[in-house]
Amino acid sequence: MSKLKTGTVLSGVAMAVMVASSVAAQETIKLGFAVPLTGEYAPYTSVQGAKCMAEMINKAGGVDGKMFELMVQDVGTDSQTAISLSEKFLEAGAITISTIPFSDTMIPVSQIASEYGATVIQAQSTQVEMHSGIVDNFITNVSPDPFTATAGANFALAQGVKNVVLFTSDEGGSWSAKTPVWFGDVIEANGGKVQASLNFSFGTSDWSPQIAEMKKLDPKPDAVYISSVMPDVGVLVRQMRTAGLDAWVIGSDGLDDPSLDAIGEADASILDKVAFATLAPSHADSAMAKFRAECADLNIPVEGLFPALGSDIVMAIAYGVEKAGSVDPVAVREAMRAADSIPAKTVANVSFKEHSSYAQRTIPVIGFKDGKRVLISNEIPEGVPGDWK
Amino acid sequence: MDYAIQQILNALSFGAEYALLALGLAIVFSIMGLVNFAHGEIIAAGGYSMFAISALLTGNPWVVIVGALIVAVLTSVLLERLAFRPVRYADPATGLLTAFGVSMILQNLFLLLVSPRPIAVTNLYFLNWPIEIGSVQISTLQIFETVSTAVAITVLVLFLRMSSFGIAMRAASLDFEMVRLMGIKANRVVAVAFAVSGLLAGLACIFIMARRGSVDPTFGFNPVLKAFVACVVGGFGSLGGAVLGGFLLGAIEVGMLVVLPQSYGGMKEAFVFGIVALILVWRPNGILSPPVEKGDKL
Repeated sequence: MSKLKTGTVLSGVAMAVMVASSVAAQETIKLGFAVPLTGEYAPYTSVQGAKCMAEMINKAGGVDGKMFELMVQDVGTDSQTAISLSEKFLEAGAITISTIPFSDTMIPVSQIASEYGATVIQAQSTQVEMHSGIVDNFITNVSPDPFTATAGANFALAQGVKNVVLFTSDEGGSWSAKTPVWFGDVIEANGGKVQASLNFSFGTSDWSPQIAEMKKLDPKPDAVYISSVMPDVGVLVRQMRTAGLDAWVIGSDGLDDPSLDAIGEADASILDKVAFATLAPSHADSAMAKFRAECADLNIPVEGLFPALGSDIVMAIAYGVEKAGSVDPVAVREAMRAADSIPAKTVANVSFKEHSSYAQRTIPVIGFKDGKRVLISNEIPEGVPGDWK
Repeated sequence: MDYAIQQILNALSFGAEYALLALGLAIVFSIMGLVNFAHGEIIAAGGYSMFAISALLTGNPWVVIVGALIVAVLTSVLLERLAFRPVRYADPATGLLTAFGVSMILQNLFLLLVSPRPIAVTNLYFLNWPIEIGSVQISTLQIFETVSTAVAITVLVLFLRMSSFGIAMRAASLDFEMVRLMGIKANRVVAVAFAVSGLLAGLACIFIMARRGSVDPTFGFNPVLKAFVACVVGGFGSLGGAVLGGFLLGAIEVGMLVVLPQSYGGMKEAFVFGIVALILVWRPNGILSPPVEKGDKL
């Protein structure tokens, strides 16, 4: 009898523990970040913004009482490590995975995540390769590169630009190779002309050969377009001005870095004809700037555009969990995709309803006045080339 | 014609930078047989020191330049003492792996302790302004860099031929053990080689920073890869070969940018390395490969 009683008590305790742990599991929204914290991709990691937003939501009581738990580990630049860590996070109950923002990693991670019903959600991935229907559990918080290219081109056309030179490179995939081409397509569709395409490599610190090519052109170009990174583009701007070329330099989100602003410290006019279409407004009184200040108060440094975009994916997941009423990964993804509008931090709102794998959101064009960033426009661009998928 | 002259000047400028970097690699290789891939991080350390001096002490560009040179020399000597001395007599592969390890550790330290993003340092922009020579425009930075490389080579040759340390280094490159038996302190000779290499890295850092205006964790990695190729083409271990390889690589790179149709633009590096491969088929040990039999490397 005593043994029976003891057994009954133990069974009861075990049941209670299981129920309690089940409730605890339900009350936790687990997000996996198998991301580059070191190596050359580290600047593009969204973890800090995600951490900060999760902290803010948790402090406010969570999502219907469910708290965020971020699982973060460094993968450097290694796809295989990203795959292994993603599996580890999925086994631990992650409902979403964020990883290296390039398709050679995102595709295999998405395929593994689909076995768990989980979503691969990226804060910053603009490359077009993920939207061709290879996987159906992928979501990116931003619009693909043809949208930023078009926003840049529409801005150029509004400035009266007719003749353009495109800088292309295969080193950054479609981001650096095709984005300039889409820019050129929009320019030519509106009566302009692509005078030349010049090749470049990442890490270029001397653009003299390309500048000599541009100086040969007649007429001189009204604008050049480049989708590359800083500080390379800053060097290009300075060398062009030094060489007497005053064409607009227009670019993509790669230019969205404080080191671009720094080239105007000595002479602000050097930035007068520089503009870029990016992923979220980043001027002084933008929502992103305010968010970064709030995070600094929480002792979570959020340096720049890409980390800040992590806030949007946490807000989108919070929305999905709230609407789904659970942390079931498929239900959360479907809830996110069904929404007409999901509140976001770096822009007013996003929607995955129309395109399912990427967010429809406004594309800001940033320029400079007296060396300071100014928001020129912030719209969903018209006239995006239709053949990019 | 103007266009051709402009591109030739551009090739000279590219070559001067590669030669300066390649010299820094070659001097250490001559003495130790070590390909120091951490040379790029010594350059980056100079860049970060510029940022630190500007932020904490003064923005005076001359102080910043001198500070960066000192930091580059000290970093190079420190790396020799901490990382390379313990593996000096190990298999060459161990030295190579150590250099890669040091390079990765330093890159990630810069990333974690400073920032993964570029840090702006604009104090040296003043070195760069345009000069018109006839109808050809050239930047002063290109002139400074080419002249500095020429001066560095001359001073280095004089140092190696005239100073007792230089003569000891040349002797060490022939037969390190014999030099030690003659009573010359090996540690001191190697430390001086690293100091000279660090000084050359500091010089290169000044010109790269003047052009780029910012430093990031991988700041020095790509330039050192180019320098490595220059050393291989010129003949590893030969200082003259490093310089020749640097200028040749600069000429090939600019030549490919000019000659290749844009539809083949993505193949530029492939063509550059194709030409490098052809040179190595012709001279497998590099154009000015040291006469190994005589042991006369320097």
